[in-house]
Amino acid sequence: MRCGLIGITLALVACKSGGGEGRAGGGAAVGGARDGAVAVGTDANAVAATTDAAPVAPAVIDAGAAAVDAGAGRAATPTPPGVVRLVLVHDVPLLRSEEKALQRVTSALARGKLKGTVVDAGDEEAALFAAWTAQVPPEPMPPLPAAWATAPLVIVVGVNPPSGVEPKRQSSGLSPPVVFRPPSNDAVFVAGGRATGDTFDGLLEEGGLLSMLATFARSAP
Amino acid sequence: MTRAALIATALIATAAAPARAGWRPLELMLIDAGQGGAAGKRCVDRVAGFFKAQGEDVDLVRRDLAAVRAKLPATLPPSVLAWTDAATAALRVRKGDDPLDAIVVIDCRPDARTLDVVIDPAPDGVATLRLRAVALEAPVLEWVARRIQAAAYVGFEP
Repeated sequence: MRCGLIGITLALVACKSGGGEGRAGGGAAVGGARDGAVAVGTDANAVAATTDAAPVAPAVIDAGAAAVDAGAGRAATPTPPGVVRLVLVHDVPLLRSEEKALQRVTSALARGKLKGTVVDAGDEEAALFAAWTAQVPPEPMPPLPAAWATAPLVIVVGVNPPSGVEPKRQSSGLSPPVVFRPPSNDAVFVAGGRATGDTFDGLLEEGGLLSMLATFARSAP
Repeated sequence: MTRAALIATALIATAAAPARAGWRPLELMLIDAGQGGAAGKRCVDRVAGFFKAQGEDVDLVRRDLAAVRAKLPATLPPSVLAWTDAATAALRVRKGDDPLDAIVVIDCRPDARTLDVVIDPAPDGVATLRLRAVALEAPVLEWVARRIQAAAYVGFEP
């Protein structure tokens, strides 16, 4: 209970102080934004997960990632074994509309046959994503982060910076995803070049990426 | 009487040509890289089937790589993922007609469970799709076809 109150307090302080500065490679967005972004899932456990490396419950967004930023490297948030991991890479806070859409994605992952959780990218995850978007396939292929070891599937997507200026900023959607099935460090699916990305809601559509999770997860090498 | 005939003619013409100002199909050339044998051909057939199912929205032209090889550069990277739009530029040109909207080259190898696709849409640059260690069954190929279609529409002007 006490930890929960501390967590909520940290999140509120982060919101109050603005915290609009994004961190390179992602992770800054979910909490602590001042330009229309909102905190999603400001669960004390999520805050604890970033500070104490405690397990995160499925479908809990790492809202605390923005609240705790000492300027040091960001470790990947652990996820429970057997849970699909949707990793968001972004430099700027999500827009309110994106946060709401992300909530729908989170709910869908929580309801799905194959459970999933949404986390902000740690440094290693952001670097891995950058390597795969710079060259397909990257040579050599980078090793997977240790936090992915127990995930049946990992989807990494970049959230494109919004277009326009405040207060009329608009979402620019997501970059094409890179999908991994640990322990293989070769991507199961990757789209490169001018490939089109999705939106958060597009992930949920019939024929969207999330409809392929079970297929990708079971196609064992 | 004349007036009634004109009105009737106009109504018939309107009915025959529904109001779709500015509409035209996406003109697409789909090329089988031919590396996957018979299974690879069936794989490409499945992707082509998706586009045929789009009806009048997609005008599909299918070619084998061998049939268009002469129009491609003499030396090409072994992987289609490394192809550039310069490689497929000559395929877009059509005599007496506008260029094709997109060139799609598919290297599907179901036995090896690999699928590589390069899409050259109207603007500069290409899009690529790469699948590994995935059973290339119908739902997967339909999903891939949707992504190909989305990439092919980049820069499309009706």
